[in-house]
Amino acid sequence: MGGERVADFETLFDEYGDKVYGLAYRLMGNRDDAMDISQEVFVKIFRNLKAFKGQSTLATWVYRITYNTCMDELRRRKIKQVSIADKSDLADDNTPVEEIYEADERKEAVHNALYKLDDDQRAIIVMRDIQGLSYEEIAEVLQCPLGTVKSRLSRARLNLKEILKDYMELFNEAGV
Amino acid sequence: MDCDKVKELLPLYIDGGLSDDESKAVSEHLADCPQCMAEYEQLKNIAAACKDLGFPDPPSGYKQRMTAVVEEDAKKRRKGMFGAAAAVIAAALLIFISVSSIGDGNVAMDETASTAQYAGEIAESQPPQNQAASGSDVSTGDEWKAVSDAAGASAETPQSGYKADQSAPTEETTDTGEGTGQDLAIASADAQQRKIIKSAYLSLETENFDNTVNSIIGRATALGGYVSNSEYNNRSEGKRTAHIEVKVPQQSFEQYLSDMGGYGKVVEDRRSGQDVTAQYIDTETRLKMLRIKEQKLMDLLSKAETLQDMFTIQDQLTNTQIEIERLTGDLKRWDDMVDYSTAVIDIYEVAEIEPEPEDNPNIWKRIGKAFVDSINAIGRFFEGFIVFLFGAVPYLVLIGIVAWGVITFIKNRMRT
Ligand SMILES: [Zn+2]
Repeated sequence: MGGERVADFETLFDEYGDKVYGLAYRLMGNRDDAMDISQEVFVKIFRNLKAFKGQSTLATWVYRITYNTCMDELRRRKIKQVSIADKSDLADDNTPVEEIYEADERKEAVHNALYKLDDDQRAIIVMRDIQGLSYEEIAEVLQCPLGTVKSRLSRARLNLKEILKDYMELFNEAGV
Repeated sequence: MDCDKVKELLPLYIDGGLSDDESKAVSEHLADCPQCMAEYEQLKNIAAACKDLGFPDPPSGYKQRMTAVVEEDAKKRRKGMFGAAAAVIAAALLIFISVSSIGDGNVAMDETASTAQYAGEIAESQPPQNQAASGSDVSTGDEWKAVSDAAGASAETPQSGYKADQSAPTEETTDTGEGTGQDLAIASADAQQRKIIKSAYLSLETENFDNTVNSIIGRATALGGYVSNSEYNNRSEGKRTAHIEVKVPQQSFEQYLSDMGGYGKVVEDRRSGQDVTAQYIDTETRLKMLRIKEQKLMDLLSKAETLQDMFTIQDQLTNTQIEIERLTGDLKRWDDMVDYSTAVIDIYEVAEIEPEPEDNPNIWKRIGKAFVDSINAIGRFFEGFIVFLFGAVPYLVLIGIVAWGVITFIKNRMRT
């Protein structure tokens, strides 16, 4: 491999390495999966670095690959799960979401609630509220119209609130 | 503005996702409505708690592991390309032979028909014309149907293997022009550019090992190519061997191969070309239809009035876009493989050039050669007939369709 490509990769990794891992972790819900997904993502990035033509920004391209890789994996698991005759414990995920025991009750509640959302709804909350991407950036990552981002985010936030309704006393005080 | 409407808008109000007018109306409402205000606080606090979660730091050794994986993949990929090509060609040939050897083709016809039908089922983004209407169970009316029709229209392209009429095609319908349609599409591609993936295997003997290796690599570089993989070994008698894989721009490939004689004694020289034109055109056509569909869905989405419509259209759109991304990737991969031809060259150091080296370096290499030999023999036999398939499992379905066209062609000829 050319030294130039390696150098490109170094730069890119220093900029996005942690973000890819973080995004994968929040989408998949545990460290093992986050590690596996990150590997897959960087292999894909490295293979396609030359092909990247900058129609989108490098950042959204990297996040898109991460997002798509996670969604493909989650979809694959679902198909597998359904095709396995034993439907009694459908709710049991192949790889369990890591339970976190935060000193902060609110964080713990939100973390656990996130994984009760549909995958695409969790993704949009993760990108907007955790990662802090703009609506426009998210539209580029998801390759969808701005209106889609808004409707999906809107639905996701309402659902998250619904899931958290038993913990609502944690979220009542104003201006935290 | 009433409370219900406000509650619907609140999730986007919390981070400025509303229009100025909407935002102003919500603000005014919140000032007078403690109930909506409480809901607003909750949404805002949940979002804030999300933000607090943040991203965890990767474990130690993360970067080393990623770098190692990426480098290993690059190495493996360079090694694997030729082997993968050979395996896929072999699979294509096997299917072609087994289908054509059934004789009058009746059985084969049934098989390929059901394959095509299956292809139709899995290509759900392209429902056949007669089913397009059933896709319009969403209440957005005529426009929606127009989208389904646009997708269905691809069933009428010359690559009519995708027609996949669910009502089990009779022999009549398969005889009338499916095969000729395919032929036409491929023939018209001649006018443009055929997509042929070229590869070659050579083995060379040399008394001057270093010179030969340097020349082979140097020449590839000079022609705009590059070495994608190389391995050097010492054989037990102290003689060296090299296994080099190079990528050379297709237009220089013949030139490159013919230069080999100057670098050593060419013991073997096998060449092959896989024509992926038919699959390429087919994929392009499907891509074109999908882009039309995507555009229409986007238009629809911007006009959708109810959330339910919006979500339904959006799901369709997501599926369409996933398919578009996949097909675009396929085309890109083919382009890469067509643009750069692959030469795999084994170089053996010999004391004196012998006509026939007795001991090949290892059994796998011998098996590999025998394998390539057989493929080439079969390939020559069917030359001009076979459209070699290249790609992953889904393309095996296409192979069935091509074979179907060939059988039809043969049958027509026997009749006249
Ligand atoms: Zn109100």
